[in-house]
Amino acid sequence: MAVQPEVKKKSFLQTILDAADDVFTRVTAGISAGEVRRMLRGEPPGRPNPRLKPHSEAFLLHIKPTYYHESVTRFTHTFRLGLLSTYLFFVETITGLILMIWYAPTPERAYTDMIRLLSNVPLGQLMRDMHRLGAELMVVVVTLHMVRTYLTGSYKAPRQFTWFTGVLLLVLTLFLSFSGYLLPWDQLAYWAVTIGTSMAEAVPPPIVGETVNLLARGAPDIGANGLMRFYLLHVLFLPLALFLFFFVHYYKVVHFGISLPSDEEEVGQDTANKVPADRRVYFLPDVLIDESALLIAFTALMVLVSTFFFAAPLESIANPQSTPLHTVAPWYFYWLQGLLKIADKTIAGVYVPGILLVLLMAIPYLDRNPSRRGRDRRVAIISGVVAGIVIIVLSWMGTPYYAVQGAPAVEIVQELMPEEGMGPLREMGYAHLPLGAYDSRENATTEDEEFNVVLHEFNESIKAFAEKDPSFNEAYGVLTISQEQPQLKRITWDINWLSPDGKDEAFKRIFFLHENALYWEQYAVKDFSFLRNEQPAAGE
Amino acid sequence: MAEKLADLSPEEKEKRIAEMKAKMQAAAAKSKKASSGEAAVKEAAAPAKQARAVPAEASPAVAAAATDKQVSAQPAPAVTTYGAGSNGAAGNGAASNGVASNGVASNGGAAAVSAPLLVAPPPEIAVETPEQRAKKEMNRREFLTYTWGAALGLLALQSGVGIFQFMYPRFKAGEFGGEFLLGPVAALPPTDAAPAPNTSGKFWLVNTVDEGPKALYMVCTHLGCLYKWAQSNNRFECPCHGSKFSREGFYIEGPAPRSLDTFLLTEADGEIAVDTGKKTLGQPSADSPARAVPV
Repeated sequence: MAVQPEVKKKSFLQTILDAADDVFTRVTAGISAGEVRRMLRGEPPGRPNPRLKPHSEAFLLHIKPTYYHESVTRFTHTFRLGLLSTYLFFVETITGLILMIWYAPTPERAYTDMIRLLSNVPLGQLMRDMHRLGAELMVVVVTLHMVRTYLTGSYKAPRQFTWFTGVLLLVLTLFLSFSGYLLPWDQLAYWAVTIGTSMAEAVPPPIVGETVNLLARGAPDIGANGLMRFYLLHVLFLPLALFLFFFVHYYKVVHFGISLPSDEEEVGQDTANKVPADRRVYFLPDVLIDESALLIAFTALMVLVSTFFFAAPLESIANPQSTPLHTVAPWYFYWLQGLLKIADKTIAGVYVPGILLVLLMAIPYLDRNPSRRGRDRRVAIISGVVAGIVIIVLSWMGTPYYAVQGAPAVEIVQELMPEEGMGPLREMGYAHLPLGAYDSRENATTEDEEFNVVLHEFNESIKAFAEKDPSFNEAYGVLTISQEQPQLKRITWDINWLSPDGKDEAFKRIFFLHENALYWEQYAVKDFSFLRNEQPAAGE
Repeated sequence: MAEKLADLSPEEKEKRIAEMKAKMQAAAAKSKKASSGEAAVKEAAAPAKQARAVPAEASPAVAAAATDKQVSAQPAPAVTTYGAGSNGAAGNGAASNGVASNGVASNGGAAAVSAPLLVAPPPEIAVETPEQRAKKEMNRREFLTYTWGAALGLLALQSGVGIFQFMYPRFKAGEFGGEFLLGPVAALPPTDAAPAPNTSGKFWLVNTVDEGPKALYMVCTHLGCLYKWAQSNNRFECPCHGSKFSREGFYIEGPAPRSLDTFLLTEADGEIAVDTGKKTLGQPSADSPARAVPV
């Protein structure tokens, strides 16, 4: 016979408090309010350790390890790059969802939706800038994560497959970033994606390449079909694929543990999962607080940067009839564009990237050196550094500075007042354009210092090109600023020269600049003059 | 084993042991012949290596068992894993002479427990009994599962083809891809005029001395940018990667792999027509007559 326990009378308040604590414990899957306070005070857990319970009972924590090795929680070991990559994917999902509210993927609406988002939706520009910044940062962070893994040799046994999935995630990240490129439907987007999909056309044999291209674009060139296809890739297919492979990757990371600093174990050993009791750092609360502090700081930094310094570019509306001068791929594909300039499209666009990708995935299976220590891996580290340098050089070759020179006159005007983007003349703004005609042979100066700088640059570059280029003789230019309408100035660039056979040649280009043009919006420059209670810089 | 060695009389025991040793030797010889060809042998070799690698640990235990004249089951697992064959046949009584006379290399777990064998146990080779062969043959259940799998594969393939057809772009008549009428021959531009663009047909119309009128596809053969007519240089220039083409569409310089593509241009009853559905790829850059740098 069991003895009935003595029934104690509880106060009403105590009953309420206990009930509340019970609810709290259920929500946290096993951690009472008292335990939370003990954690925050830095006291050791009771026994049995209630702080392990959420790891076994709660869905969100079941994938997280209960404790880490002290050495891998040091910031400089991993720089938390994996965590940051995951977090950036999360940021992209949230900001992307918000942007979708004001976006329709049709050529008629996409660009006007962008304009409306920038000029008429509160926080619209912030969301767009954060989404764009996050996308570019994600490419950077994922790449750095891979570089760190390579340099510490963490891809070695037993983590080969983790590396393999990591490379897949890198590829998905690049595709995700690139597929979003088309959606604003401006010139930058349209032509960068045209070049990108043309690379798919190089897949041999021609019939396959052409079919792949047709499937991606939905037509011989990008139009409504192509926009819809890229939209679906960007918002559904690629994120889902990335989500899936992320979990494969992360499962492997938790399963094998984060590799220790190489000096802490013998060569060929892997003791990441055998953590001595005195070197354990528990997820609750230490790692959780550490990670959330980092992410909060990171988010704050992102908001700050995208508010004050970074602006997602938006050029003029996509025009399938006109390719702007110096169209480039996104910066993370510059290396590929550089390759495309020096080699055949099929070799540079299909074979080389394909082989590189396979090599990258196969690194752990090719590198049989069991040691993860830097001094034992001279060949691996030197070849890694060489590969990095090659990528940087190729990227430079991918920029318009290498091997894409139009006629001198076109280049001179492009430098000062490009077809797309801002350039020094637009940056000065309407107020700094004194009316008149300025001939480069006279070295004219005006009272406006800023304008003099541009004028000087104009004269100098004509002289430089005339010396360099044999088909550009006795060149001179005239820059004319005239008042077209009230509040609208016309800027005329005239360049005249003699061709090698003595014929007169001329180049003329006309632009207009409005007094109240919002160039911060169109050319990605932020204008905060309104904060100082001034007229916008263009006005005065 | 039906009977333990320990239960037998000394003579019987000796005879039995001699018999088993002979079997072992026969098996060893056979396995040498078969060498590494068969998976079964490979499988057998692996534990053998293991056993050799740990003689210090294994032999005292075995020695103890031998001195006790007790054939304990404990060391047996190490031996019975030798080959798939032994698992099947051993329990059924390796002692029975029927199996032995066939020269079958299966041996009971007990037989292998002698110490010298553990030091260098002969790899065993499986010879199939009819039951084993029956096991290897595909039975109905297995066959149906494969069929089911193949059906699923076919379904996946069909879905793939279906998605391909679903995704494939549809072309409308009367748009790019169809025929464009350009009027009478007399209306063609002179042979020294700048090329004239036709935006809906996506071609440049140019009249040449050598080849007559040509319709050049507006898209650069490199990466799909639209090249431009540069009047000052009297040539086409691509703004993306710097390919240059002559007025007649021939490759001059840059990364483009071939001269400009052309559409079929026909003349019927004095009327010029360009069929944008019929494209002729340009000659490779190396063969271009306008090439700036000879190959």
